[in-house]
Amino acid sequence: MSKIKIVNGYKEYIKNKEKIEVLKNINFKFELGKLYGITGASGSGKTTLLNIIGTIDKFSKGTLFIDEIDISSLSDSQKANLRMKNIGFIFQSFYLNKNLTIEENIMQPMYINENYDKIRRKKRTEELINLMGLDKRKKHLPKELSGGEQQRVAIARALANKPQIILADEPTGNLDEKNQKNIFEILKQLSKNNKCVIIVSHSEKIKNYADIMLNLEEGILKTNDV
Amino acid sequence: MTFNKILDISIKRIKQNRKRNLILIVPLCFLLIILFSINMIIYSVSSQIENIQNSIELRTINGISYNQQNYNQILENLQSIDHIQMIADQYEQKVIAVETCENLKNSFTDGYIKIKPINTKTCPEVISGRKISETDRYVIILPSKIYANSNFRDYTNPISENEYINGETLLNKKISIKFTPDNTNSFEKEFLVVGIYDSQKYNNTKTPYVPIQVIRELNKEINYIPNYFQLQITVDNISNVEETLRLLDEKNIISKNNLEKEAENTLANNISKTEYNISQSLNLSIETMEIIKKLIIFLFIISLIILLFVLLTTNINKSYLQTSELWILKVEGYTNKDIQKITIIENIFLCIIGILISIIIFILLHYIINFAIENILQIDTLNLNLKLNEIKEQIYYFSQIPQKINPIFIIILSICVIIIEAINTFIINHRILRNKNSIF
Ligand SMILES: Nc1ncnc2c1ncn2[C@@H]1O[C@H](COP(=O)(O)OP(=O)(O)OP(=O)(O)O)[C@@H](O)[C@H]1O
Ligand SMILES: [Mg+2]
Repeated sequence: MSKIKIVNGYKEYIKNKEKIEVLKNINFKFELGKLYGITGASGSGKTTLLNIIGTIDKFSKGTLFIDEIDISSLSDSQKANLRMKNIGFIFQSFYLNKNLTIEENIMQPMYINENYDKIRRKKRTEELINLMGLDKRKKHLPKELSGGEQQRVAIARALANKPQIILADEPTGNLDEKNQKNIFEILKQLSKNNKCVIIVSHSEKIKNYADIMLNLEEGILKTNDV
Repeated sequence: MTFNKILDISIKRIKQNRKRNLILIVPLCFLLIILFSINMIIYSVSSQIENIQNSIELRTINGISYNQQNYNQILENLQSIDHIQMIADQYEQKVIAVETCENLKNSFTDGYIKIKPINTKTCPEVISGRKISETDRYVIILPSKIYANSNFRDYTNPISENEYINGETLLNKKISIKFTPDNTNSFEKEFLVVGIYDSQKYNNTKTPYVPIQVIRELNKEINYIPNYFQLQITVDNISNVEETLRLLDEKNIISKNNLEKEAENTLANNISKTEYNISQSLNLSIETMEIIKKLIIFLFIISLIILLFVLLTTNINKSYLQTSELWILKVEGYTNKDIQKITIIENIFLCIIGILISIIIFILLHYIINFAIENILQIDTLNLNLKLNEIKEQIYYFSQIPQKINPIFIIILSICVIIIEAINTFIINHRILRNKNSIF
């Protein structure tokens, strides 16, 4: 059983009566315990694909299965629930809430998880802060942190509800070499802990970490052997 | 998500976003205070217009001369005018030229009062007790605020609150009044206080009223022989004074010009001309007040429109500031409904805070201004130049207008603000959450 299965995925946008075909006939299965690297030219549809897998967007045609469940058959609140429990997002520009402390940012996704009461929330946050090496930073605001630290906060936040799928859109785009390496290593470690990690990246370095490299070209997803 | 959790998150967000909260609260407070103030002015001016119109003295016309021959004819003619509620012989006022009442003395006042006659039609509305009836004799209707002092007071020396006696304390009690119609005559009578009227509602009138029959009887008792024959009429409404004057002219009772002369010639009642003139000038001032009121209402509507506009735009700003925040919530698994609820509750809270702050500031401002006015009136400007005295006089008249605010208006305005804010938040967030390109 594969974690994510895409069958005949199409995505098109209609702008000014002109049809833009972004994704054409995507067929792919993503498994747990593997790290996937997606490359492709700018505008090739990488973010679109990631958003669809993350259930905040949908295919114009075709089906997305997560744990063998057809996502299009779910209601909005079921999708939200699925996102909360199964999917962690990481973005290029972190998108931390600048008014919340590091601790509060990480805690935010746990508020809606009925499995976490106040004590467990606190405990889980501690755990993640330690895991990301942010012990001394938890009462700080995002603007007081470096880019690499902020991205680690974003990863901690993505992991809060223990999702099995991690989606990262250019997670190292704003970071220097040393921090890039650090983030990739963290993500690699996650995939080893039986998570399905999908990373969109322009960085050459991704090849060193990915189990499977994918290339999106003219809307078609092709596997590149590593 | 449970309501408690949503409430919890909303309150957390309010605590965390001090700067963003101000974007909403500051303009809201500013405009609400302006709206409250304008409302207070409109409401006070309208009630003042009403108060003036209620005043019995200000719709009384004096100086209608008659002689033994035409008395019945004039009386008949006057009775045929619908607007006239009471006809009194001016000589009847003789007995009530000077009165003092022991019961109305206090450490600040000497008990001097000026009684006026009423009938069942002209009797003011009472706030406690009852109005007079046809059969009543020695009864009296007192104002809620009694000023019993011979000391004439105006803006140069305004009456302070502790000089007033509360009429309510005398309800259903007998008070003894000493009449001094002339230097040789003086006698006392007891009157039962049957009703109390609201002085403020009658243009701050401080007059005690007794049935006209009693005054007639008292005049007979002292055997008063008048040396002039004039009638005094009370019109039902100040706006009908002009019309009544026209009818008097038409029925050849008296012409407007003669009326002024006659009123001037009246010896016994030195206020008659003033009363006539005041009612004339007050008619004018009511007109100007009506114009001011319309102007202010116009201002009010403009402020309302500005409020609406500000509410909408500040909310748009505030909402777009948090676009990425809302999207992150969505990505984290908050449903659109949850996010809407959180933000709407957050904004409703902010509005309520804004409204409360506005009310507090408004009340404070109100106190500060009244305090300042009171102090300005205390300043002795008699020795200063004329200009300052004039300003003081204006401030005095302004301060005489009872300040009122319509609480229903504040409630309705607050509810509207909250509803508009909630709907607006919903619409903007709906747009933000639907358009996934807004951040990613
Ligand atoms: N809502 C939309 N309406 C119309 N066109 C859109 C919309 N969203 C994305 N597109 C188009 O779809 C294409 C793919 O966009 P996408 O953001 O997925 O590219 P990308 O591969 O992530 O690019 P980049 O590397 O620059 O991030 C682009 O041509 C974009 O203009
Ligand atoms: Mg992209």
